[in-house]
Amino acid sequence: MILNKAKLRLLVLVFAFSTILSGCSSLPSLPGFSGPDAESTQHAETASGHTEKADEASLSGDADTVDAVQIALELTPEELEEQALALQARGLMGTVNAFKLDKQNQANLNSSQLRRVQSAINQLANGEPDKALVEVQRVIDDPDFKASPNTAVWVLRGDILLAKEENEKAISDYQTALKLVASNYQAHNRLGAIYRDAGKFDLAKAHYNQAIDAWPGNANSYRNRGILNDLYVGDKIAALADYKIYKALLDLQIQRIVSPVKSLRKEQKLTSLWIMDIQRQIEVLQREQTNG
Amino acid sequence: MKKILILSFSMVLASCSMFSSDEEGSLINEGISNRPTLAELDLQPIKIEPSIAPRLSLQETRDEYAALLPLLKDEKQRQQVAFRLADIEMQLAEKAQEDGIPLEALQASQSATQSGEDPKASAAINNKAEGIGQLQSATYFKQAISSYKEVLEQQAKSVAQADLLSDDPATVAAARRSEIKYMDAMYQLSRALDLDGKPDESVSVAQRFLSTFPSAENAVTNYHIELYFRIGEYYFNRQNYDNAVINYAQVLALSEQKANIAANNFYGISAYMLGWSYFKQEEHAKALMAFSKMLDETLEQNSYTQTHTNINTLQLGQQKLVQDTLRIMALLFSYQGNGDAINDFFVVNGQRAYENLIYEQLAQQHLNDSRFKDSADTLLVFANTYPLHERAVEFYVKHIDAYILGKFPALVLEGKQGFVAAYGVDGQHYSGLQSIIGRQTSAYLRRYVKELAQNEHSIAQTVENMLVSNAQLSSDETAQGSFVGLAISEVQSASWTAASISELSNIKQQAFVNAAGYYDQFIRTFTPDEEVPQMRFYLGEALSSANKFNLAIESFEIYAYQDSPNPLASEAAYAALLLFEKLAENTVSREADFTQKLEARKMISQRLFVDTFATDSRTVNVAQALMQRLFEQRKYTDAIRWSHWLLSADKVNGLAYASANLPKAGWRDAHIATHAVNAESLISARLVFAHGNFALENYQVAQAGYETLLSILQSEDKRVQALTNRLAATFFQQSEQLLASAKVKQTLAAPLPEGRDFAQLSETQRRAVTDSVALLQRIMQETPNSTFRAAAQYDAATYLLALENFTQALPLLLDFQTRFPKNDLVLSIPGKLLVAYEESEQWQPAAVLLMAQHKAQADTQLGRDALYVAADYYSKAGDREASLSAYRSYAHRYPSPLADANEARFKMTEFYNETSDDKKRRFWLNKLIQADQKAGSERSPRSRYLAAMASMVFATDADIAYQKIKLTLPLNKSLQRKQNALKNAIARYDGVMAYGIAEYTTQANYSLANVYSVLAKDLMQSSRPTGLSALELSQYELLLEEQAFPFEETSITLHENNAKRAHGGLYDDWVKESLKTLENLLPVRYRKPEQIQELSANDFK
Repeated sequence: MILNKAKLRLLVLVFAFSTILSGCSSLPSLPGFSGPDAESTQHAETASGHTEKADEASLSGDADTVDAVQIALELTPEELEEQALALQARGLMGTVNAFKLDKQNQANLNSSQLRRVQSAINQLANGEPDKALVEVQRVIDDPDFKASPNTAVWVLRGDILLAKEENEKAISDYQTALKLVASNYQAHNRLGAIYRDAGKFDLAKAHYNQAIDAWPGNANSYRNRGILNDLYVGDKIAALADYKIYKALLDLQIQRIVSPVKSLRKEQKLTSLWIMDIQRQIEVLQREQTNG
Repeated sequence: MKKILILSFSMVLASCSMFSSDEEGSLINEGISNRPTLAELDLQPIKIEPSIAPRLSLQETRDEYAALLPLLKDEKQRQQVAFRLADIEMQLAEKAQEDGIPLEALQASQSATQSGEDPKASAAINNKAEGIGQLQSATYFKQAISSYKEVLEQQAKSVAQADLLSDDPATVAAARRSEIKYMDAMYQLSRALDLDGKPDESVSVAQRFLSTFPSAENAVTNYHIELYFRIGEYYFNRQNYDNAVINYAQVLALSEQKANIAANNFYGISAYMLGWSYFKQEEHAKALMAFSKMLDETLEQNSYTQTHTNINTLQLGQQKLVQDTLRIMALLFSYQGNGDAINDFFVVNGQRAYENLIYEQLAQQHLNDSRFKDSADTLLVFANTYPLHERAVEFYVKHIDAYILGKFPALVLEGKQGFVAAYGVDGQHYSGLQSIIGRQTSAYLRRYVKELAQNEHSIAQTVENMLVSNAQLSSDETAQGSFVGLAISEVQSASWTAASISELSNIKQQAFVNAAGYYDQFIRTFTPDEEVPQMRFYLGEALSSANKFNLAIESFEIYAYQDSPNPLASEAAYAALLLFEKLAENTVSREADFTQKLEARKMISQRLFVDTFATDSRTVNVAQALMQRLFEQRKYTDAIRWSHWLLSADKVNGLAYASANLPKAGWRDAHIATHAVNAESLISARLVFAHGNFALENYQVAQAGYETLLSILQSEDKRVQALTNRLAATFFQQSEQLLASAKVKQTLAAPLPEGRDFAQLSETQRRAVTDSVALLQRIMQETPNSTFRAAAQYDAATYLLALENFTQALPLLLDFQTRFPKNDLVLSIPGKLLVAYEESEQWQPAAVLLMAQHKAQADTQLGRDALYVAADYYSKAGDREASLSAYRSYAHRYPSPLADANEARFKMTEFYNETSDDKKRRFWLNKLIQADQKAGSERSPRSRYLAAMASMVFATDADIAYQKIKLTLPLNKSLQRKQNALKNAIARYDGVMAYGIAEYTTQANYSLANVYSVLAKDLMQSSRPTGLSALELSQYELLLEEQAFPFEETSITLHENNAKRAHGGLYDDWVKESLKTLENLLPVRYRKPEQIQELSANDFK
């Protein structure tokens, strides 16, 4: 196959980008090695500015690279972007879930505690937060638990209290969970949502960023941050980037599942609509700005 | 026997000289000097060493010479032998006279001896036959006289012949020498004649001798001196004193010319006789000079040591001469002025070591004549002239003794005074008791000083008694009294008797001073001495009486505390204390420093007294005085210590008190339970204890003290009220201490923390305040009549407020108002009550208080504020009507300041809102809008807010009115009304948003969006015209949609605008509502919920 120069250059860029991503995926991204802002910035930049990095990459080759090049040669720019997002999502999915690692340092709940936790989950799901609170409180009051607390239990009690609309107490519990394991992205996401509802958008964004830092492969964190940027902060471009990664991660999840649930596909489709809508808003804004 | 030895020795010498013509001159001289003279007979015995016995006796020698003489042809030899024979005859005569045997008898006895008879017996027979005396003299020296005369005649012839026959000077000189050689013979002739009882002839020969060998031309020999003396004696015995004087004077003159006048024995006797000669001629001065020469010679003054030969060491004869000389000199001096004359004499003629003998002699003579004063004066002159003489003290004492003998007590006293003045410790001659003089004076000083002191003391006391007994007299009157028995002169006695009271006072004062001076001298002279303490006590008494309190105190204290133990120690110590009082009285005008020092000294003395004489009954008063003074000086710790002393000294309860209050070591102190301390003293001690501890801020201890006192004192005691006040004060001060220790007041005074109506007290501070209040309440309960009651109650209430204990604070405050209506603090009670009511949420009474304040001062800011707060409190109390009334009053009465007026208006709107009195509410809402419009410089965010709020109400009213209008047929009419209502609502909402108040802006925005949405819906739901076909109806509806669509779009736009406020940070309920609305209107864009992963069991594994 004979390639013209333009296509060859594009091939090289795509190849290089994919190489970077695959290289990143092989390295655990532990939250402790760099600041959350820096990392989130890096991710954001990765989501939107990967081509610049690709320019600086050098040529090397393996089987995946050859496939990527072959595919790229036949895709439109939109498709190329989609492909790049897919590669990025693959990379993100491959990153280390720091929370998962950190959790391993905690003592496991004993069987009795596990039973109570399970009971609490069930009662919460059944709309009986008070009962759920009783159960989880017993766990928390257990001397064994006091000696070896578990971060997830505090998140659970926060959820129960939130269900009881005791937001401040819920916030306190989520924060306790984070004191035990700072990489608890579940707690971060919860706090982000609560602070968003309270109008504390900066705090909300900070927690979303930390959630992403803790596990860059968690799609919900990008979704939540995107919504915050979209509706409440008004940063449509940032929101678009988050939505795109969110969607890419959804796409990847769907690809990896033999028969994905309907809701997942629906979510995938809705996200595509969000992306299109926000792109339109951006265009309008840009026009408004251009028109003064 | 001695004379025999002399004679033999002379003969030996004479024999030897006969054979030594070369040494003729020296022999003459030696013969003159060595041969015995008259003077040597008795005065200077010659000691002869034993020698070989003469081979021939004197008689035999005489006989040999006598036999030889006729046989000699040579004239010169004849003269020598004749001279020698004469001497032997003289010696034989002297021997015979010494033995009492006439020379002829002696010669006979010698013959008898040769014939075997007893010579003594023969001599005795001759004596009895011829008698002793003239016959005897004539008998002894006749042959010697004859021999000497012959020798002298022969010698005279030889000289005369030599003068006539020879012109050879050498020959003449030799003759002259021969004449000088016969000087001895002439002397011996004179002597022999004298011994032979022929004084006239003897003197004649003597005078011939002196004219033949005048002293002016010849070397003075002892022959000259003796012969002058003999001539002097000759004339003196014949009372021819002039010639006697001449000859005695010659003796003295020639003796003084000789280098060694001591070699002869005629100087002294001649001086003596010269003195007598002058005396006989009544030339006393010359006599004294002569006598003094006699003493000079005899007593051999040592100029260096000023001593003289002791008379007792002289020979008896000399002793008698000296004594007689002294006697006659004393006599002479007595003519001339006694001791002063003696002094004058020796001043002129030079001092003599023996002067004292003359003084002594004269004094003794006067004494013998009972002239005591003269005797004393004489002795005193010596003592005064030679105060350091070894006999000066003796003389001084004797002069005093003379007065004693003469019974002159005043003079005795003067004498002793003089003695003490001269030899006492302050005298110029004092050099310590161990000096030579000191050893002599010691005993006298001891006696005299004591006597003088006692005498002066006695005088002083006598006068003092007299003054006391005449106390009624004025100072210029004469006192009645007598000075009998005192050692004073009659003159002095007379003078004092006539003295005025004032003068007597001076006399008394001086006497005490004098007595003190002597006591002091005694002490200073003899310390250490067993008599010193007693003298010190007397000294203290004298000084005290002389008003020398300071010194008296010192004396008494030394006596009491340093000379002890002694019997009067406590008396002296107490006397010292009493004197401090007198001293203080006399030093009123002195400078403060002196007074303070005096006070300090007194207190030291008091301490000493009590410590030293703890069992003395007077210590109680002293200790009490000391305690009280210490208390007055604010030396509370010391004062308290003495209060313990007093309380423990009490016989009845002292031991128990000591056991309960003193360290165990003090329980056995001497004063414990020893004294009968009276009740008032005990109370005084307890007062000092309580007051002292109060002053030292030991309030708890002071409290116990006051409680004890109040339990002891009768209720009618005047001190009870003051003590009650003090007890209250202890509670009060303890309360203050508690507050101070926890720094409560600082905390209460500090600005209140944000959001607090009361100071934030720590737990420690709260405990302190609680305890403090308890103490203050004790004042109210235990000392309700004390002056602290009101303050205590007020403070207790204040602190209870600080503790936020309003339940207890309120009754106290209310009671205070009732109980102390005139107390200044009452004015602040309402404020405190208000706080209490407020803090205890008793709004109704709080409001009533405030209304009272308002009515009292309606035109003041306080009154205005009170009304405002009262309205609020009425509201809180649920007294709606009262609250409404208050607010209404406020809103009407006080349009300014705008802020408060607006708040009142706002409250009115709230009240009417609650009661759904929409009309009245809107009245006041409109007032809020108008107020903001007219606010000018007073316009504020709050006024805008309230105006926005009020405008919102009216906007809502307009909205509701708008929404009520349904689009019914005929549509054009209803639509017109609807459009009008729409315009009104939009204008109202625009008006609200114009205030720029976020809360109402978002609401107005939302509502406005809703207005358009409603219009769109209303259009779509409007009544359809009747009679339309299906197609027409469809077209009609399309037309409606076209009409409604812009309103929907506007509504969405308005909601989106509202939603976008979140981007700027404004995210309130109305923004949320807009977002919520938009979720339905534009779901793809706005329905975006966060995705939160629910926990599952896996999350806990």
